[in-house]
This record gives sequence, structure tokens and C-alpha cells, in this order.
Amino acid sequence: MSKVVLKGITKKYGNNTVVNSIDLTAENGKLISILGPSGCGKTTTLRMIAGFEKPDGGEIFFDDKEVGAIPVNKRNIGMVFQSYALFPHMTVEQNVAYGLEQRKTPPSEIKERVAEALKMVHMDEYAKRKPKQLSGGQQQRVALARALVIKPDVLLLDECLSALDKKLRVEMQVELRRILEQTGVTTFFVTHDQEEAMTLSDKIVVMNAGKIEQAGTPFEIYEKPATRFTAGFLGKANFFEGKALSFENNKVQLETENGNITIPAQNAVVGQNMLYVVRPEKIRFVSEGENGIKGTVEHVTYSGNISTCTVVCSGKEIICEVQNAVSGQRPQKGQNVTLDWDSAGSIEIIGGVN
Amino acid sequence: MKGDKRQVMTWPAMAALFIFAVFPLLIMLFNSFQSDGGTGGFVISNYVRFFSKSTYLKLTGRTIFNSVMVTVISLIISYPLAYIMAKKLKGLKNIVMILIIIPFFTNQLVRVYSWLIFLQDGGLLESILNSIGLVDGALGIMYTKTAVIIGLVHAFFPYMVITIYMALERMDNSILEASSSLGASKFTTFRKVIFPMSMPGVVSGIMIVFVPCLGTFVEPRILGGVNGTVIGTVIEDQFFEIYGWNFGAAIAFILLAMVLISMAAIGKWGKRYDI
Repeated sequence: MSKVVLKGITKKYGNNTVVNSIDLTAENGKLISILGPSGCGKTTTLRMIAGFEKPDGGEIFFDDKEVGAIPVNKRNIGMVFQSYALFPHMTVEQNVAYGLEQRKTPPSEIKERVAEALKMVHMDEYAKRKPKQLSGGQQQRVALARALVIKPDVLLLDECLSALDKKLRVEMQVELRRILEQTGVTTFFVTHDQEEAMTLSDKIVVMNAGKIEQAGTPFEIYEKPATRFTAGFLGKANFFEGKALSFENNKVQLETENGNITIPAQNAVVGQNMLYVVRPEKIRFVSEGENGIKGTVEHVTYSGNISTCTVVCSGKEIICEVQNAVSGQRPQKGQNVTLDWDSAGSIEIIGGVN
Repeated sequence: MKGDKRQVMTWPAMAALFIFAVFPLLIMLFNSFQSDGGTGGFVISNYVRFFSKSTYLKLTGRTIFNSVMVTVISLIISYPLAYIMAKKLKGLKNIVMILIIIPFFTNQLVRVYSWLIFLQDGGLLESILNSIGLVDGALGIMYTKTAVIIGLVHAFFPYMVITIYMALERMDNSILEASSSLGASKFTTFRKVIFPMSMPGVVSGIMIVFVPCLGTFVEPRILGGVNGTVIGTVIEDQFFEIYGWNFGAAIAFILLAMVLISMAAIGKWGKRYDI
């Protein structure tokens, strides 16, 4: 279990810079998600921490030890692959014992630790089975046990839940959280699933085009996105962008490409271009006659607990989510509505205006 | 499946199989229990004759020996070749594959006579070896068991390369990465993961080389001369030279039994490597 520090890590394939000088710190025992669209360099970053790829620049530290020159098989990492990568010709037990055998652990201890690891992932009953006799979720557990049994300095998870169906994935997320808390191993988790990153992580690192857009707690990333990309990638977002024409009583009037619009905001510099992001669940419907933004409901998507509505306000589409409470009235298509939100709901993205 | 009209579509194939394979085989089986110029009664003398003469048993031994040698040599050549093709070569892979497959498309006689020209005394190989000083004078390979085995290896090893190559090729790279992430060296990964996982390919390779090798007669005859006599050539002689069809049929069925037994044995042994 180590603190992991990446300093100025760069990776190039030919002229293509896949990872561009990133700095990143993972505190001991924390779970860090690396989140981003495909091709953003997140898997390459993980593979550099593992040692499968050699950085073209920068340093990687496990605690105070620079590991750049240490090959994968000496680096003491545990890795869970997207395809699980279990050895198909070995039983579950043999799979989990493999890493310990490489470390010349005495057989009696191997037996004990394998049993312990399988118990931890609730797979002790399946010890004698071959991987092909297991379901995806079970293979996943075995892969996790195999990676953890060697007591790695760092655990690396490469999109390892994405092959599971939704229900199983949520179950495994809870399970994973429990197991990682139990073992206290520093973990990097690569995913493109923002919901998964939110639920699991102590810290989320959002990557885009080989660079880190933002790093912070799930709360910070969602509630205080620093860039337009982060705001748009994590969760749904309404962007309001334009020159501030006036600002008073926590209302800013913006000159947008769809005409002028007045929205709540806590801060604005009159005469400057501003960019705000508003999360759909912060928006509420207020009764007619109250102050707010007037619009027409164009589309309602019912998804059980909430309804997602697209409201067109003077040419601009605003997405808002309402709870489907017992007493509440659900907006209907074609209905004229008035929208409002607290001024704190408008997050100003500084330097987000191009 | 009762009443499934689609079954009708298999009838032509079934009929062809019966007329061209099962029926002739039954005739041969009947023949093998007939005595030459006999009364049409049922005799086992043809089989007795085979098993009571040491010459035939010796030939059986030689046939099996040839097949084992060809299989082992093919395996030694094919595994590294398939490994390099699957894991190391990128663009060159297809070219190498074509070079390996060429013997498939070559007429058997052309292939065998090429070896004859290459191996014979005063032939190409001899002059090459003479000129670099490895061998002095005549080569003496032609018309020996060695020549037969060389010819058979050339004919059969591509099958082995292909089966092993396919087993190695479809191996998920992340499994190998998993092995090294768990602390295994490259050599250990090969020994504990790659090799066991390629065993199904090795087993089918052995099957596909060893079994047809038992029945060959062209290579042994042309490249081996008198030293090349094996069961296959004996059967051919019985049918085309001596016209001892009944005895020939009996040997053919003994060969068939050997084929079936070795297939069953290899198959059973291969079961343990099932993935």
C-alpha cells in the first residue's frame, strides 16, 4: 500500500501525444477514478503506472521510490483487466495462487491466503471450478481476489465493471467499495462511466485529450466543475453563455446567441463574456406570475423516480429534472411553464469562454 | 426434429456418403474375409496371415516409427514458427503463411519428385554441401528412411503450424499481461500460461499429422525405394501389382483400426488440455 505520485508523465505514439505531462497524486489507501471519453489517455496512464507502457517523460513514484525502471513483474501491482484475463486452463484456486507462487510463498501459506482471498470475494465455494464455468460477475470477483491476494502496493482496475449488466454492476460497485475498504489498498480505477466514478471514488480525475481537466472529490467535480468539458462530461448540464448586460439582485442578463436571457447568478462582471452551468435538478417549476424564465415544455421523458423535461425558452433548450412525488404535478408536453433556481445553482466557469 | 421438412435437404449428402464411402467400405470388409480363389465362405486367413508373419509386423513397426518421427520433427519445427508468426511478426505474417501453405497447393508428385532431384546423389543438396565442405562426396540420403521422413515432414508440417498458430493467435493478450502483473517472468509466462493454453492446438496438430501419416505410400515409395516399404505401400502392391485384393483389404482394415485407435488415444490424452 503506497502513495502514488505521477510527475509530468508524457506518452507519445509517433507524433501523437496520448498523455501530455500530467501530474497526479493518489494518497495512501484512496480510490482514484480516472474518467474520460475513449482516447483521452486514461488507459495509457493506467498502463504506465502498471509498467506495461514506458513513459516518454516524467516520473512515477510509489511512496518515495521511483518505479520507472522497474519492469511490470517486479513492480508489485495488482491489476484487474476489462476482460478479467483469468487463466482458462487453471481452476479458480490456481488462478488466485499464481501470484503467490511467483513470490515463492510457502505452499501452506499460499493455501491459507488463497482461501482467505476467495472468502473475501465470496467465491470460496467455487475454488475448484474453471473460469468458463463461472458467470461474468463471478469471474470478476476471482480476478479481484487474484490481484489482491499478493498484497499489491497499488491496485489497478481497467474498466473492469463495464462488461457486466447494470444490476450486477451496481452490486459489484458496492462489493468493490467494501473489499477496498477492508484491504486499504491504493486503487486506480479507469472508467468512462461517470456514475460509477461518482459512487466509487474518493477522488475523480477527469481527463480529456491527454490532459487532466480537473481533479477533485466527486462533489467538487459535479458541483464545482472547473471547465466546460468537465461540466458537460459529468452529469447533464445546461450552459448559459454570453455577454453580461446587467447584474442586479442576483440576476444576470446575458446577451446570448438566442437573444437576451435573464438567469439567477451570484456573480457577474457587466460587459464581459460569462459562462454558467446549471444542473437540471437545481431547476424548479414555479407558478405562473412569479418571476422566472418563461418557456414551453417540448418533451418529457419519464424514468420512474424523475421526469426529465426539455423546456424551450426563447429558442434555448433547457433540461430540467423533477421528482415524481405523489402530490407533485408532472409537466405536460406543450404546457407553458416558468422556471427558476437559486442563484447558487448557476456555477460560473471562469475562463470557460473561448 | 420429427416431421422437420428441412431434413430432406440432408438426404442427397447422406446418399452420396453411403454410395461413395460406406458401401465401398462394406464391400472391402466383405472381401477381407474371403480367400483367394475360394468358395465364397467366410475365412479369417487374411488376418491370420498378416499377424503371423514377422515381415508384416516389422512393417507395422516401421510405419508407426515413421509417423512418430514425422510428428515429433513437425512439432519441433512448427511450434517456434507458429509462435514467432503469432507473437512477433506483424505485416510479414501473411507472407510467411503463404509460404507455408504453398505445399498444399502443389501436386503431390511434383513435390515428391522435387525432393528426389534435390536429395539424390549428384543432386543439388549434395553439390551445395560439397562446396561448403560439410560433406565429402556422395550424400547417400536418397532411398533411405531419412529421405522418407524429410518428404513426409514437408508434406504434413504446415497442418501443425496452422493449428498451433491458431491456438496462439486467439490468445487474449491481457492474459499474458495478467501473468506478468502477478510477478511472472517472460519465461514463466510461456511455461505456465502460453504453452498450456496452446496445447489444444498442439493436440490437434499431432492428430492431423500422425494419423494421415500412417497411411501414406507415395513419399515412402518414391523417396524410400526398397527402404521405404510401409503398410501403405504393401496395400498398394496388393491391389495394383499382385492383385491380392482380399489380403490387401484385410491390411487396409488393420490400418483403419490403427488409425481409429490412435485417434481415440490422442483424443483422450488431449481431453486433459481442454480449456
